[in-house]
Amino acid sequence: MSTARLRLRRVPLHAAAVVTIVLCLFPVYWMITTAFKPNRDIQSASPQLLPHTWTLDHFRTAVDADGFALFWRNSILVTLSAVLLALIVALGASFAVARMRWRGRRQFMLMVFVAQMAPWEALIIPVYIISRDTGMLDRLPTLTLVYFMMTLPFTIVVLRGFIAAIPQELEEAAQVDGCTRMRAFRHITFPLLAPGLMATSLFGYVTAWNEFAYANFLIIKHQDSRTLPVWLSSFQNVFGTDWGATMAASTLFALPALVVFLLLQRHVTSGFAAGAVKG
Amino acid sequence: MSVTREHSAAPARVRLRRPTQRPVRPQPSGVRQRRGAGAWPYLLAAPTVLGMLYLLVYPLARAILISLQDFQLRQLILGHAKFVGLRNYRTLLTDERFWQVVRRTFLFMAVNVVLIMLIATLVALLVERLGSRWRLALLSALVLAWAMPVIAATTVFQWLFHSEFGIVNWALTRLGFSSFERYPWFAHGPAAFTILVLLIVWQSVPFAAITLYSALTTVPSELYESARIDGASAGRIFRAVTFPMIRPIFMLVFSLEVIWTLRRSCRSG
Repeated sequence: MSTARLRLRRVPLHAAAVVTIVLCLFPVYWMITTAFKPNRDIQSASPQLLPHTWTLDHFRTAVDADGFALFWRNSILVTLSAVLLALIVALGASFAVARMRWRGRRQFMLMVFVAQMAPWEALIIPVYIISRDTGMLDRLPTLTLVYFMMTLPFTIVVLRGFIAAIPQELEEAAQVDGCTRMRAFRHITFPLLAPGLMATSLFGYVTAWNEFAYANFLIIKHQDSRTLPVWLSSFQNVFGTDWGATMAASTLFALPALVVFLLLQRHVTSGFAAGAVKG
Repeated sequence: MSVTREHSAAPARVRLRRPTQRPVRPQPSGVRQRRGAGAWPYLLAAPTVLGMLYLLVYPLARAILISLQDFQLRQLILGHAKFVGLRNYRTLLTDERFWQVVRRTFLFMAVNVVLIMLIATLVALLVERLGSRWRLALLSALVLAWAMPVIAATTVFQWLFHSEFGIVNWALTRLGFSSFERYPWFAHGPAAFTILVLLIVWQSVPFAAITLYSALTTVPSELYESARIDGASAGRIFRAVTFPMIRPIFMLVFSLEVIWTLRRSCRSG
């Protein structure tokens, strides 16, 4: 009796949960299913929630489009190197901020917070001019550097929170036992930081993977250095009314992020949040 | 900014930090002294500072310089721009269209941020009240929406709201709103505005909700119990117990959303 009433009381709660889940997932679901539907089902007056017939034609169109593999590789290369660079640099900076006392520490953190708000859209013209004058136009390292700087401030803020949350006594105990400071950090703090590193790198990954304005502006002449977001947008222009192919291209573009996030769901939610809470 | 946050965040982490923050320590010399001295912190912070100088400060200075010059396509290609002082600023600030755009941008930002914070708080409270299986399902859904790349999401929303074959028009027509049959969402200013707001809210709520939810989990359950024993209503518990405890994170998420939404409206506008 009482458990039944308890269950009844939870009905509105679960209804709200179902509504939220559907609202979150439907666009993703619709993108993927549209990509698998044949054209006559896509352009029909009554859309089917579940595809009756499945086809891979749209994916074939998308993959066979000019330069897909190349742009995919470019995107991966730029994204991974930007994230890795940001992680290494941020690890040093956030360790210095969280664990050491030095003059200028406060000013440094203030600078990081200001950098977090940098108006990247307004900097695109000077960055273009600077990279043109230094011969860095149309080259992937330029993009890598820009993405590195875009993700760095946030990475420092979150990592600082993670490092501050790890009790310093652990390191000190290791140092008392004769570890050097470096070793203490590497063997004690670093493993505990894994969720933090995971969460921040995911954030950087998504930022860099998505970036469009700079990728579109800094790489003009050398078409082989283009990245996936630019490809996707030009694809949409070429295949404008072919919604199946456009959705297949979007799916292929979104897939890495979706898979990685889902696999690391636990780290994203708990790990990332813990860092933000302490930050 | 960091100063105020550190102070206001104190209650949330008192339990964790107390041992490290008390300076009463039996062995004050060795480790603590080393922490204060040396070039290490500067070496560790140097790459960040150098990066910021070259990739942020320098372009910003160039941007300011350009803003004081007569700089057009010709100068972009050939160089040698003429210095014109504050003329560009005068042109901009006296232009009525500029102020119109500024007003619209801020209105757009305000609508978005209010919606995001409201929905995200509700979703966070919902996640906290669910059982573990439901919670995992909801968190996974949120994470998937969050992971959706902006360009892919934009494309999908165009498809969802397609005038002829879009599923939104189909559903609305089926529900009896026959005026939505072949409704061209992107042709009307307010309708397109609505879709943009929907898109940004849909993209931003997951991050805010997940962060707020994790802030909620740090609130000690004893506080809720004692409030309930005192007979406080759910609304009052939220106002008197929950919100003050999560306020630092709430403000952090709030300011991040303001920045991100402003930036995004720049991008889409």
